[in-house]
Amino acid sequence: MNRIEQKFWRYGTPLSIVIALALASVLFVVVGRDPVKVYVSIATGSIGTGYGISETILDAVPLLLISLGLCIAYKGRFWNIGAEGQYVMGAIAITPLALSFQGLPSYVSIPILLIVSFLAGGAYGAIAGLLRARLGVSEIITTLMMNFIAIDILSYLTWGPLMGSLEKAGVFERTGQPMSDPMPLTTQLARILPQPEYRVNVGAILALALVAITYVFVTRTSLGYQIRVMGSNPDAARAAGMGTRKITIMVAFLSGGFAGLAGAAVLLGAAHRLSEGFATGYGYTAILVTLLGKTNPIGALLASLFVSGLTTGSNFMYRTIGLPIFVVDIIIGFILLVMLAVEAVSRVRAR
Amino acid sequence: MADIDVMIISGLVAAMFRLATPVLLAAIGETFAERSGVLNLGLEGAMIAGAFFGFVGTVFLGNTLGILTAVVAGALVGLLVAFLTVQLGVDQMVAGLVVTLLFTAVTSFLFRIMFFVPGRVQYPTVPPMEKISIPILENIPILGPALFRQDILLYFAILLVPLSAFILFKTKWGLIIRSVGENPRAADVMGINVYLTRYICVIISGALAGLGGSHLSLVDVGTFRDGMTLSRGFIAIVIVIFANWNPLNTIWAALMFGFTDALQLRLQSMLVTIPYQFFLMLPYLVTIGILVIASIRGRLEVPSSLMIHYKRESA
Repeated sequence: MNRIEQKFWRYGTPLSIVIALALASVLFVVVGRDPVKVYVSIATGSIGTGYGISETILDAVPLLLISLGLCIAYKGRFWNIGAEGQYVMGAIAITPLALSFQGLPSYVSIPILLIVSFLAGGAYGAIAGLLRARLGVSEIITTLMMNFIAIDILSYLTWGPLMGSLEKAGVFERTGQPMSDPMPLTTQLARILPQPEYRVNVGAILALALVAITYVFVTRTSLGYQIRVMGSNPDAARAAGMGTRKITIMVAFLSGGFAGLAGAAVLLGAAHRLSEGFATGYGYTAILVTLLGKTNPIGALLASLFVSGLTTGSNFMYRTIGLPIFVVDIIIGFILLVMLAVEAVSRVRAR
Repeated sequence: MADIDVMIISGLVAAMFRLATPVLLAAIGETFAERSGVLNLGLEGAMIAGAFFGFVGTVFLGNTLGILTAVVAGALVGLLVAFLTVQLGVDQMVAGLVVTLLFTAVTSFLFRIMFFVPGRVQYPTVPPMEKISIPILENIPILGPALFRQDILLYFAILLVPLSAFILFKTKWGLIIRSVGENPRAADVMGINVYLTRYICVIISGALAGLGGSHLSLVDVGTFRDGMTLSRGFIAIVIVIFANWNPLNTIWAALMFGFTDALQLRLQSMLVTIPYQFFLMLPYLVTIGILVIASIRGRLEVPSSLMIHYKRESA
């Protein structure tokens, strides 16, 4: 392979994005829209205004938090696709707790709530880890099925024990879905900017710190190393005397924990009330984010900003051009398909 | 026994078969793919594509061509999965997940583009597929109406169970598929085209999943809904494991799933004191249970080269 080819494959990701955007353009033309206008509109909506940037960062936080956990899981080849359910469980666990924290200072209540959300999401994820480690049950299936179970539990709770006092009195929001009582002000995550329309909050700073911590954990610690070996060569891991069962459960717990924490970041940072509509699909989108970032924490940071920019921009684009926001998943899907193909071809070339 | 009880039981049995049909079709297809060594995790994507394009085909071309559209759409999804995994050697987990998420989005996107008219709330619908009664047999009490007054896809799915077992275990073609799944290198040496065999099997799995998806939109609901497959493609994969990669066993697991689904719908209206959400989660709990039982029971005959990419040139 000559130098030019090497360069070509090294820039595989930007190249994949360009090819995928071209592919998506074809789709836009087919449905009768000008692709240039679509992309300009998405860009305007996401990075064209201060509000857009703030919303992009706000929306990137849960994606990034979940994705950091999935980086750990996928590095160990633990295919957790149940982040959606773990995210819901994190939020469910802290809702009654936060409501009971009325009057407690923020520096006491918020750390407790964040830790509890991590533990709750982690415990829900660890069930799948336990089943895989002890009985060899495929985590793909168990984690996925547990998403549906978590959402049913969420639905039951918001229509039942956690229903807010307004809804109990018969006053419903526009959506017709009942919501919990609002989180006390002391448990809400402080906003970074003074302007009321900028919703970006300290959750973003927490997420950034966790990028660094996860990066160090995966690359510099013994457990991180063991997870990577388990993922790349499970036989070698066992031969080296690593407790692969213990590591599997640990990985399941950690990835679930990050998803649970994302649940807290959204509930305390932006939503402020728990509802049936709380599960909006961050858990599934984060899978794409993780793959886009090549299971690297820093890659996850870039990918989560890119994807949330697409989402925020597409909401704007929907209002101006009218293409459904599913274009986001389609564009990311195209990028990943091209990326996977480019990677596979370059692997063959490299040999 | 009162007539009303007979009707309830008969209705439950009929619903059990009807709800088992989509997962049964997908599971039979997946058995072919996995027997040839490919885990088609894009099954869910093929199913939702079948549900959507079957609906589109029926709206524009009528019932028969609608079903055909679903099969072709599913087969094309299978072709994409095969290209990624068999040809390029992309990780089968990753490829399947990406394809599934992509087609979930593509179908919802096109559904809005094609059928949403501003200001109209009503979803477009198609008349449910007509039932075909089998004379004499349909008059058997309870089982008659449940089994012999159903749609053509259900009959096809049930016939496919012994037929695919016969193909896999009694024909030369089945031997080729199994040898490719067990030892592709040896099969290659014997002159078998490993890639072609895997391509065909993965396309079959996509086509049958597409057919199963069309049963959801055309028979069960009569319209398309976002993500209406509700992970039935993944449930089909569980059924394949439980069936130990033998089509003859898939029907029992599929019926168990169908029974749970049919039962939970009825329990929701019968036991109103229990929140309905607990019945909604039953099929998913049962699926996990089925998988746990299959894993504990052991003796699973996983095809030896399942999920392992075969690189021809490194021979």
